[in-house]
Amino acid sequence: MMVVTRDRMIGAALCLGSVVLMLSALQIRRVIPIGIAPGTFPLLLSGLLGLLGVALVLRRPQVEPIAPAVPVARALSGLALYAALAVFTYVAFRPLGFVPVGAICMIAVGVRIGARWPALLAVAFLVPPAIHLLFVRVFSVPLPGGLLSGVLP
Amino acid sequence: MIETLAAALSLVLQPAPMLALIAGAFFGLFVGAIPGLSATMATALLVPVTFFMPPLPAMALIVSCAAMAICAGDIPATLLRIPGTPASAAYTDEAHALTRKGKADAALGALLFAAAFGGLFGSIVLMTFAPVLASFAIRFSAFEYFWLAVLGLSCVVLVSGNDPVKAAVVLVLGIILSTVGLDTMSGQPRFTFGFVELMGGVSFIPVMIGVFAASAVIRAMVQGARPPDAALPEVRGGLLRSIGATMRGHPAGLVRGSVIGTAIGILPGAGGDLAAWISYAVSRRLSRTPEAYGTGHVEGLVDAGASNNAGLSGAWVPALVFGIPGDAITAIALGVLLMKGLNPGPTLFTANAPLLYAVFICFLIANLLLIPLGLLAIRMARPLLRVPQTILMPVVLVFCIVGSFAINNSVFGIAIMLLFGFIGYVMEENGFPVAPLILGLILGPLVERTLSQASIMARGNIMPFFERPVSLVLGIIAITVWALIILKAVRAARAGRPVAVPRKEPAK
Repeated sequence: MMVVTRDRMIGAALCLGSVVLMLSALQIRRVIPIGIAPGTFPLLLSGLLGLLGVALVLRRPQVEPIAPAVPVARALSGLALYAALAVFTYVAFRPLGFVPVGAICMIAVGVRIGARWPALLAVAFLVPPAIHLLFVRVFSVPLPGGLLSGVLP
Repeated sequence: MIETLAAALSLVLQPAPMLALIAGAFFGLFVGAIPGLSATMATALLVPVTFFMPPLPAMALIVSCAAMAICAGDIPATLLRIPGTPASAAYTDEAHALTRKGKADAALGALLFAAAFGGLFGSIVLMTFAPVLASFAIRFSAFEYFWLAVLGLSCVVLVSGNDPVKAAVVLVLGIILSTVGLDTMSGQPRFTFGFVELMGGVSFIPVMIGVFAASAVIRAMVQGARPPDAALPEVRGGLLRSIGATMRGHPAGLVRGSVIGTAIGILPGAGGDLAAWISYAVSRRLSRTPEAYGTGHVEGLVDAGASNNAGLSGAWVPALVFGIPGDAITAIALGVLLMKGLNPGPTLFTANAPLLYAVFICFLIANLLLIPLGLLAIRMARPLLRVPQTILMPVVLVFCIVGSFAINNSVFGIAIMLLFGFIGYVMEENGFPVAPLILGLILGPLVERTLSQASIMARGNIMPFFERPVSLVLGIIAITVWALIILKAVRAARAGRPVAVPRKEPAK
């Protein structure tokens, strides 16, 4: 009976991923009949990834780190918060603007990891506008102003 | 030669590069001294800033930041027994043992001088050795470059941790990532899965910021922030005296550590941390007092400390001559060079000689700056080490967001960064090294391009890959390295047993 380890699960996922990539690589058309075809190198790499996945599945279980001292619920809630922040940042970055999104992300992460409120609020209200000024004025990066476009320079 | 050096010097002695050198050093000092923030992270976070700078100040910023961050990592290692960067891990116990004896000044002074000496030694080797190698490499064809790139990637797998299979997985993923987008030869889209944003490929900068910086934020969100240390030992005077004692008492160790560091740094994928471990071991073996090692002995610190910064400079030799980065930091710097339109390779030494020598001079200045700024950092250690992670991590996240947006003014860059932050976290939590991902992403196009060119030249025949003398030697070495990798993997698989061991801090 094969023991299910994290390495083996990752290996199985890599095998599955390699099949998807190989199918995608097979669909790349060759238009110039010289050199190697555009799909050959990706196909080779996908196959190699699959072989490495098989190696992870089939090899004897390696010395694995014990589960972290962090409770599962805490770990999952941390990852869920990160995922929520990632989606929020992607969706709200242009409509709300960099400064509000940056401040909200800072406060969310700070609260999660136990920052003290006064210090966190001070940093969240000072750092994003300072970065905005630096990038817009010095580096000429058009950071979206969003809600604060009338207020920010 | 003299004219080139004079032209290079006049380029460096301008306000912008000098300011960049000092600013990079201060940033590196701050990030390197704080446990949990690494030299690689410091360099990664600076890349978006360099995007808007001329080439020389951009390189000066990266070079001085990396040198100072590696050196500053010794401060928490000595005072708190927490290595500021992985490069300091080899001698953390030795340095802290000196602190427990009330000799923190001796440890810090020795490490500071050794770092500056090693960095200068490596820079001089780089300045003298790289042009010679470049004049030889100018005759290389696609066959030699193909084998060199394969050899570089192979070494990355061989030296990345104890598990070559996992390192190979990450490397292959990195190379696959480099194939995403329109194929340069045929214009055919590859692995874009209908996303228009992926047509231009995956920029290495958001990926790098994600795996090195955003993953640290996730780790803090999952595992909690490290509390600031309440009891910090005082560093009394005597640092200059300690520097003098190191200079007089350990000249052989300084040279030995620098030579080993530079040699290992040149090996792709090895980097300063491996150099420090090996130097420490060699120093102990050759010492007249090996029994004193581990109890607070300056001799081991000198070798390993010099090796650390020498390795950083050594890693630039293959990066500049062949376009093959020696470690993650050099891979990042290589990306900056490419971003500035300076294609690394032997032609860089003729086409842009003054600029290149100006970068070399920046290396020398950055390593000379280590002593005064390092002394300042040691004096400022107490407030620096008390900055809470609970405030730092939210700031790091905002820098990640703005940095990944600024490259293409695209929210898609942020999405890539956030996704690779998660991937980097998962990888590290499961023992997969992250550096091969970046090296694969950067070296992947070189491997594919040279393979394509070589296959056209060879007309489908495999023999021309081994017909030229240099190509034959490189090919044999690359195949030998792969044989070693397979042997190492088989041995590891046979020795494997389901034993639980305490989780180690992930490499940063």
